[in-house]
Amino acid sequence: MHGQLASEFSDAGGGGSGEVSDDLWVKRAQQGDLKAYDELVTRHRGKVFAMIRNMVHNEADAWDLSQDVFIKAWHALGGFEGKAKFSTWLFRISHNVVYDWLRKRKIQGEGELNDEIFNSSRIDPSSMTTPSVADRPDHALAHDELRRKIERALAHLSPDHREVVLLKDVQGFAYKEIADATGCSLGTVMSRLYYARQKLQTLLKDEYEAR
Amino acid sequence: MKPGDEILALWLEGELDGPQQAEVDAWAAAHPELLAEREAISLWKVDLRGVIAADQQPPFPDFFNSRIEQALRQPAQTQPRQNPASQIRSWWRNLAVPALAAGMALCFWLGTEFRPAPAAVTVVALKEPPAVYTPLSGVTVEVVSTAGNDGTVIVLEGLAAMPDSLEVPETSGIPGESSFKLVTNPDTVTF
Repeated sequence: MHGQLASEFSDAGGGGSGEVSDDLWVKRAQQGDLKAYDELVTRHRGKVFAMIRNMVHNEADAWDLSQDVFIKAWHALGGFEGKAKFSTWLFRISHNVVYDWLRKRKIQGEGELNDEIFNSSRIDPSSMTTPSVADRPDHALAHDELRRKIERALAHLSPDHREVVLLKDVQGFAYKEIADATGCSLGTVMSRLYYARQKLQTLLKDEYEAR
Repeated sequence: MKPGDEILALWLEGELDGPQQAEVDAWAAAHPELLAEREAISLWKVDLRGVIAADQQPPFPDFFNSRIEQALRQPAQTQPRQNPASQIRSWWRNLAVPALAAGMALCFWLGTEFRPAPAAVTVVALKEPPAVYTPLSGVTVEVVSTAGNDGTVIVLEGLAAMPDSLEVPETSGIPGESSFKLVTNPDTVTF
């Protein structure tokens, strides 16, 4: 069925790349086509799951929350007007699901650093806004160690800061897309990213200086 | 002329293009510290993407999809909502919460007043064919219902042979009406 649908969409949408755009699957799904929605789930589940897992640091919770995202997205699909990319819209729902979960778990702000309570004196004034990447590791052990340290550093950020770093530096979103996904202004996103990178620079300073 | 902070931030992330990009490039040529910072940001992203996955499939991805589909196929969920909830629906929803709470309180009170004799457990047969999921690849599943739907056979092919020492524990069923059997051969497991 998907092959037939893809062929139909290719004929209608052109493009010639062989890849059917999200828009066409979305239109079908908005008409109640569960198969089309299943295709959208398959396309986006990897990014949604990775983003949520990096936010909540628990695979099982991330699995359940990702399920919630796609179920909520289905219910809200009628209101999706295509002004933003479908993936950006999905990340907006992911943002809401994760923050609801954080609120329920009452972990937001507890023992973590955020804009308000972070002691700016701990930021090295000579630090740049991004951690230095000189002398990057070139073997697996060092790579795993670096990954653990970066994950630990990310875990020390507030959810707001962690989210913008993940969306910007990992997912590769533009500022405007992050603003859409998080419901913040462009200026807020820029500010959060700036401070988040400064904190990471400080948290990872020893790691990079040792190389 | 120095660009504004917002334009500069966009330039550092490589989000400008066209004349705006060229304009800031020309200005930044005289500011090596900004060129270095832009380079550092770019390398940092490469570094981060090397250790933090941007795309990671959830465990059991097929099951992930089927669970969502199962949830969406439940009654009243097979069509995305076309409009926001109406005020009437919202009013009903507001009324439903206290009514539900009152009902639960009444049930609790009745539960403390009456102690019914223990009754036999009733097992309700499902009308839908069972959904069978296995995390193993290469396993095929066939569900066969007998005439009158009074029996179901689930055949799993492609599993490893079960050892003779394996004992299947007792399972529940409809007393007097149904039975549970596990039949095995080296290539096929049949319930």
